[in-house]
Amino acid sequence: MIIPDLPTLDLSAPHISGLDASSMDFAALLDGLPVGVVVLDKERRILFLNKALEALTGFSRSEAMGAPCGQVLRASTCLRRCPHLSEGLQASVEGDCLSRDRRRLPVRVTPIQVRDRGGELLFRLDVVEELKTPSVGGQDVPEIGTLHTLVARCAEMQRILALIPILAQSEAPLLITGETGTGKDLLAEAVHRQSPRSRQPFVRVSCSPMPEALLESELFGHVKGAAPWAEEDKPGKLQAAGAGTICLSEIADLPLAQQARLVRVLDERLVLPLGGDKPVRVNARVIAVTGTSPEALLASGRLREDLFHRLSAFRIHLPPLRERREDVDFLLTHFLRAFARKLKKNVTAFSEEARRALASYSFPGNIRELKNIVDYAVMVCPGEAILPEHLPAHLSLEAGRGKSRAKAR
Amino acid sequence: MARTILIPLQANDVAPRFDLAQAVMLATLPEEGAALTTTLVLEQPSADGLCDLALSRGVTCVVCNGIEEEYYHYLRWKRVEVLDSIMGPVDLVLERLARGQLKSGDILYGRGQGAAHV
Repeated sequence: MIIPDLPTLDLSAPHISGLDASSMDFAALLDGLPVGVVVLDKERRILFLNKALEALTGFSRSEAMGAPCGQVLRASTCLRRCPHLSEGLQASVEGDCLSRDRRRLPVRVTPIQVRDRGGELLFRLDVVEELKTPSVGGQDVPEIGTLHTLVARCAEMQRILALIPILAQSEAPLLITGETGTGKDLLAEAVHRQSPRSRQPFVRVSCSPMPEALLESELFGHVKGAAPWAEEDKPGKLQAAGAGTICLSEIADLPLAQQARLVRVLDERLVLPLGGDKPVRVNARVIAVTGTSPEALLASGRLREDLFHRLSAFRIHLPPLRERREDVDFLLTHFLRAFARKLKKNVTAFSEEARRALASYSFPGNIRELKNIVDYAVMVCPGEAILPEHLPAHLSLEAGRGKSRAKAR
Repeated sequence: MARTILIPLQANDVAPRFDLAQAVMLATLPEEGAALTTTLVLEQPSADGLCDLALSRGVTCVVCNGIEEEYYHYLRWKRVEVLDSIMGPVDLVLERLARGQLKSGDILYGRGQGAAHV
């Protein structure tokens, strides 16, 4: 990275000089930091994002270049009052930002202005740290009534939750299986957050079907000219994860050719960008996620056996909600509190009838479906208690069918 | 058929966040001819408020930058198209929308790789 118009600085104290010497790789320096850094021009337009901030925001530096900082960072504190315009610069401000994958992340932003000896502003920096859930004794404190934490009461889930700190200490790949909506991605993120890599990026990649070259570029990066759309060198998600964690969603959708390349990455810790001839070292831990049984995938030839054995150094299966009915009541209360707080509504309970209708429902979409149902019910409910008519129509219909069947018997 | 578009605003640009927008543009895009636009200043920023506004005004498409997953899916569930991670001046957004050339992730500031040709 070259920061334009940086004057040559001399060595006299208290100024640090020589930072802009031509041999210095400023981009590599910023990329090596475990916190997000964005370099801004005087008008607060983006000149550079480091890798940690690329992973946090979901925008690559080439996409973000030239855009106003607030548009890419989307931090609440910056939008209410830009910290660069505040008195007492370099005081950190805390808030949240919205990532490209639509997640709200708590962050701390520290603004820094870099000036020359004459006090002339050269450029600005924002240091962005993702704030973790407060921890006690190394264990995340479960937040009551939050929407993005893994919570459960049943014995099997308690066993899995207790395993998280142990899994987090390992460097070996982890394979998470479970039906849709059981919390596979949340578990992957929880493992990352409790690991020594937690200050490094957590990067999610969906291996959903897309043109092979594009997927290869997404995962392994590309060099300029490797494809018609490759207008400049771009690192892949494996490189973007740095020394953090990369979570490969729906690993079975990865074409077999890319699976073979992934095997090589896991063995050699090297990736060859699309069209490139120089391998790049990667240090990210790999967590793979699939909603289909790996054995079925192996049998149908959709998953390479060598990849399966490498990925399943540790393997966790999240049970569907129908196999842990004792959690339904707990989760209903948990999400009721969370949505009531979020939507600022005074909904405090489910009526007996509504609770019975929910208890008899099969939740094929598992916890995600339960959560959406509670979200809907809280939004629709005008009073304090959720009645059956506040539940989505498909649920009332199923309850009705259940009653008719009972009467017929 | 004319389309009704809702765009959260920050000055003349798409607001960085759906939930923190203080103003909103409602635009009617006829099949031919210029867009008719109205700008509303909100009492207070609120994602719920914007969802309600979109539904009560029969909005067919929301164009925004950052939006939380839950609001995104809620609007989609209500059959409102959502184009998110759009950055740029609102007049360029409307121009591209009218030409059917706007897609999620377009950055219309004109310098980065993600920048659409403007």
